[in-house]
Formats: sequence, C-alpha cells, structure tokens
Amino acid sequence: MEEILEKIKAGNRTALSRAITLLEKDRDFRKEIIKRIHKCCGKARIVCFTGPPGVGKSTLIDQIIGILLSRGKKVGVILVDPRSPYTGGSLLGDRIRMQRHATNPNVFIRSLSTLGDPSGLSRIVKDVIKLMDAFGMDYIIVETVGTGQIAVDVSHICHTTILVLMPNMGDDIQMMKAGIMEVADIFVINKADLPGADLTEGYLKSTVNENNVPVVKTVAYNRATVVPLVDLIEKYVEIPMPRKISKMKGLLKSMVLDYIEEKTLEYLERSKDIENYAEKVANEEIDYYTALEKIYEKLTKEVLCK
Amino acid sequence: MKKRILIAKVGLDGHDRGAKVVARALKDAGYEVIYTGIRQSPEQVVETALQEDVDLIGLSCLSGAHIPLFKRVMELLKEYNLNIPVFCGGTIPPDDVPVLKKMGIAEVFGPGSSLKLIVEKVRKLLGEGEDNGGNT
Repeated sequence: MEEILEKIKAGNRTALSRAITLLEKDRDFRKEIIKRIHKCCGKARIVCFTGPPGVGKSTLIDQIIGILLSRGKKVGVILVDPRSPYTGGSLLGDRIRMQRHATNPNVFIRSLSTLGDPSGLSRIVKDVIKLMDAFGMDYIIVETVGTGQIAVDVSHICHTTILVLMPNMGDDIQMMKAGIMEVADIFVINKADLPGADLTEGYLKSTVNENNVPVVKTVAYNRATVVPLVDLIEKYVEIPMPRKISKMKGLLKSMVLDYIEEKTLEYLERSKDIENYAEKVANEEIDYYTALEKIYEKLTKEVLCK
Repeated sequence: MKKRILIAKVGLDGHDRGAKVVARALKDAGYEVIYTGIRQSPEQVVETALQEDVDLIGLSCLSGAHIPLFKRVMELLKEYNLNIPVFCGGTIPPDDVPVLKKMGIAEVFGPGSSLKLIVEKVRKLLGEGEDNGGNT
C-alpha cells in the first residue's frame, strides 16, 4: 500500500492504473487508500459532464482536453458507460473519441462500467477522482452515462456540473422538469450548427435561468466554439462553505444508502429469504406486506443490529 | 470483478466490422470490453492497455501489415513491462500464423473463425473455467 501510494505521487502511470483496478476489486483497499491520501488531495478541479446519450459529450470532452493541454494543464478523464444487467458485460466506447490524446503524458483516461447504479455514476468514481488528484492532475473530467433527469448525484462529487443538450430535445415543459436541470452549473447546447439551436437556447434561458446559469452553444468538432466554454470552466470561483456542506450531505447520504444496500443484498443472497417468501406469496399463503415485514425483521436482527 | 479486454485496430485500416462483432460477442459473454476505434498506432494501443489496466488484448488488422504492426505492439508491451496476453484476428494468411505465434501472440483467428470458438479461447487465455463469467 505505501509503495503503490509513493509511486502514484511520483507520477507512475502503471501504479495509478493498478490502483484503480484494486479500488474496484477490493472494498477494504478502497477505504484504506482513501483514508491515507485524503490529505494530499484537493488541488484538482473536478468537472462533470452529463446529458442524454448521443448529444456529443465525448467529442466535446476530446476538444476540451486539447484546449486544456494547450494551456499547460494535466488532465485526468473518467468515462462511465453502462453495464448489461443481463450478462454483466459492457462495451466501453467513449474513449474512441479521444484516442488522439492516448499517448500524451499529461493525459490519463480510464473507462469504468456502472455497477448497477441508477445515478449513472459508478460508485468508485469519487475514489478514482481522489487517486487522480493525488497523482497531480490539474483537471479531472468525469463523463457519466446520459441518464439526464435523475443524475443529481454527480453534482455532489464535482466542482462544476455541466449538462450537455442539443437542439430539438423538447420544449420548455421538458426544461422545467425536476432533477439534473436544477443542479447544473453550466448548460451546453452542443451541435449548435443544427437548426433549432436558438429555440432551445430560448427555452432554456426563459425557464431555468432564474439563477443566471450560463448557457453556452458549442459545435464539438469546432475548437473555436468550445474555447468560451473552457474559459468559463477555468473562471471557477471557490465554492462557498454552505454549498460545500450541502454537497457533502448529499454525498454522505448516498454513501450510507449504498452501504446498507450492499449489506442487504449480501444478506438476501445468503439467506434465500426472497425465494422462500416469494413461494408463499405466489401460493397465496400470505400477502406481500406480511412477507416484507418478516424479511425486514430478520434483516434487522442479522445485519443492521449486529 | 469482470475481466477487462481491449479490442484494438492497428494501422491504416478502416475495416472494423470484425473487431466490432468480436467486441460485441465478448460483451455478451460478460466481459468489460474497451474498444479503441480504427487507425491506432501501436503506441496508442499499448498506452491504452496501460491506462485501462486490461487483462487481455485483441488486435485486428485487415490491411496486410499485421506482421510489422503486431511486432511493434509486442515490443512495446515488453518495453512498458506489461505482461498481458495478446490474441489477434483479420485477413491473416495461414503461412503467417507461425510467425505471429513466435512473436508471442497466443491465438490467431483468421477469416471464418466462429464467435463460439473465439469466446472459448478467450476464456482459456484469461484462465477461466467453462461456466465462469455469464452467458455465451
């Protein structure tokens, strides 16, 4: 552990890569390494991109990496793609758009699959961020699965949350819906060379812009249109304490819930309660609420009160 | 923990159907597959393998330049001190198979190889039994 930490701090890429794998594999390693490095983190700026599939998040990130590199920054990138709930397999393909940076020593790109997490964030993303921070990255860019409306969790672990949209994605009623629209720090309308970009911008500005959240139009493959977005990201000011605390509240709450869920799933798999009670409910011996109460009673005794 | 496989297309070659079909079959077999896209240099491939910490690399080439390109990949892996098994596929003449194997490439899948065979061999390369890692 000490050895791998020293190597990461010294900028050894293989060590960083191995450590990320260990984070994923081993819960105890995860806890231990984060406890040890949390004091040497905090230098990196964390920027998260979210939005529906196909709006051009990866291509936009590719352009942003290029601009940040030209400004002398070191950039870490975490790409999250979905995992099949049926086979457990996944095809991690976000990287294709940014392979031109693959051999640049100031860039480190890592793809992760979601561990069945509806927020679109793999649970270890926050820990990978810490490792990349300790490695000495100036910017850490996170791309999440484009779940759109429910991906509020992302805002808890980053400084700037950017929601990427494109023209013709819906009218002002869509924009008024709750969720991710409320946590974005910057709105981007990508593919702004398509017809309808001005209308989408109008909808956005008129409905969600009470807090003066900036709206930027980009065409991802056109560098000049992306520069203003990077300027905006770089202009970042320190988050005020109350907001920081509220972010941490959100993070801790989801961590506690995750932890309980993990323990509960372990128990359910071990005990076969679900199978046993499902049979009884199917045979109409008992109703499902009674079954729930019985399972919960055993669960509390064996897991939560231990 | 799912095993991670890198599928990479090396050299100036845009024929990516085969690589995509194999990538998809491995995904369906329960693996985490990382695809590089077309026209990658050996340097890009090996650097990607390092950053993604993969357990296996699959190279694809249909341009005829497989020998020099794959050789460079194998050299770089050694240079980087990465001990990752490699398999390959594409339009590879039977006469070249022993040459590639001598370079250290574990399996060669020419035209007509069945997906079932590829998945089976991949399982073996990863040191997994028949019933590990999801459906086939």
